Amino acid sequence: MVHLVTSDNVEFVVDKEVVERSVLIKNMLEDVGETDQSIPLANVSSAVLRKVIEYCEHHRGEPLPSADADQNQDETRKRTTDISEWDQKFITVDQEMLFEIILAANYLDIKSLLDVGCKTVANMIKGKTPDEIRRLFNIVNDFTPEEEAQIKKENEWAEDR
Amino acid sequence: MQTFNSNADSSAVSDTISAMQNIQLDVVMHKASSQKGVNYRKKAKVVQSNKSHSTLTSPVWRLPTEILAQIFLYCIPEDGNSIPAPDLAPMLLTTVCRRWREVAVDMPDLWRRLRLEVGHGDWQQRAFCYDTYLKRSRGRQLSLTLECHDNNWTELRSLLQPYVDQVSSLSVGFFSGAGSLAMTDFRGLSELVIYTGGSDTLTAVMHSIAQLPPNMRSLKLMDLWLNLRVLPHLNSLRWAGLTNLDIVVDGLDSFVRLLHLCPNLSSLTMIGIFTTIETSETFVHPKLQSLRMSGHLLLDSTVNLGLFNTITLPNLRTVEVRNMGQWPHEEFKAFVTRSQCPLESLIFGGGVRKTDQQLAEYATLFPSLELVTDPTRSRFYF
Repeated sequence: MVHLVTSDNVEFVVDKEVVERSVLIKNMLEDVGETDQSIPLANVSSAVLRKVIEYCEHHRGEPLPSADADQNQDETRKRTTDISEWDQKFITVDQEMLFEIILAANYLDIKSLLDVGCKTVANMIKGKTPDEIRRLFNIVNDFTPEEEAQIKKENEWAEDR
Repeated sequence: MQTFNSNADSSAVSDTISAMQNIQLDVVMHKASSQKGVNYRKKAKVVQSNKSHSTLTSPVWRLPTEILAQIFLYCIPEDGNSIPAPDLAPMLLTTVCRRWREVAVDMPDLWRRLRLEVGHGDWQQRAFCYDTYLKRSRGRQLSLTLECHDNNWTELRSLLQPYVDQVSSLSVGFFSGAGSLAMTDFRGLSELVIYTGGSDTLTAVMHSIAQLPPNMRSLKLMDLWLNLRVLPHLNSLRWAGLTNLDIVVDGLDSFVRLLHLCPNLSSLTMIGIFTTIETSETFVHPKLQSLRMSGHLLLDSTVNLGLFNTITLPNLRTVEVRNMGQWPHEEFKAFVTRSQCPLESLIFGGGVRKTDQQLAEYATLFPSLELVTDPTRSRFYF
């Protein structure tokens, strides 16, 4: 079993097989060997780690994606945004938690979870207007008038089609 | 990828920044309004600065650029090359806020796929839009779809001139009135798909593909009927490099001719009108691994095509057939025995009549053979 301590000082005791879905922790355990010492995760809160562990438990035993596979996907650029039913339910959380999960997956190096998070955000963006996207993510339109004019020019033909 | 945004998980920090900016704005506004004539430029600057900082309160802002970039890649439409559209990524992503625009414009991979049309509308405006798009690909390999309606390719060719060596994958649509487009201009091309609309496009297409670029490996010719009269016009030297070919044939005699033309072919998909082979020549093709065929024959047709009597394929691993009518079992059995090929997969789609006993014989001949019978597979869509 592996002991993890979150940023809000909560300790989790997790199966090695489960926690090793995180490449960061897997490498760490390989470096230090068997240890009873807790691993501090200063960038992950207990609420987020609970969700991350739930994901890793569910996907326990599945093969980890290789770095090569990732590169090939980038090259062929046939990126599907399909998400499995369980993952979809899992990632149905409020926006704050969604982004925290993404950040945690990135920090812990859990590629498949990072992908689920990124696909979810991408699916939220698709089909929306810039205004709708700004409202959804609370983003301010900070373009200067000159930049607005440039954007208008770039889009002029496409809009008139 | 291992990035941690140091100011990431601190919503308290961003709240504080936002609050401070509001106070700052109030103070400046108060001072400004107490003076005669508000300094408009100063006010605008403060509003702009406040806008920038209030963006920090958005959870999405906390994502490092690499993650935002990954999200953006997932926003690209999945189905082929798209016409630039303001409501679709990547253009959509450049119109949300300054940071998104900077990230999107700085990601060449977002701008690698594009569909360009010529022949209607204001070309100048359209060319500006295409060029802006292509510039952002910054030397990356491009996948383009080009369509020509009632026009020649001069404008498009001139627009693409700075990018021709980047094009690795090309789909070209020839419509009525379109002239030929020399594929040899695209020196880095490895995949080419040609589709047509209208009946007068054959000459233009044949001129375009007579010579192929030296690195071309994959060619799909859709809706274009090739036969023995047409094939001699193709440059055998340049077709020799092809490893994948999807083609529509008028008569099976083209089959052997195509194998001669493409000695390095590893995959051939052939649909069309299958008639009895009239040639008596036989041919050994040592490279072909995958053969997929779909004819126009009815299930009860008993035409003896003679197809498998003319070839020996010692490296054949996959065979998929559809709409072949009566399956030439004895002919096929003799063929695989003669070829001594490591057949791994034999797939019967719809429109092929065979018996359970025949299937059992294949299973005996190749004990680890994947044998599939699926009548719902009726056409190849390529």
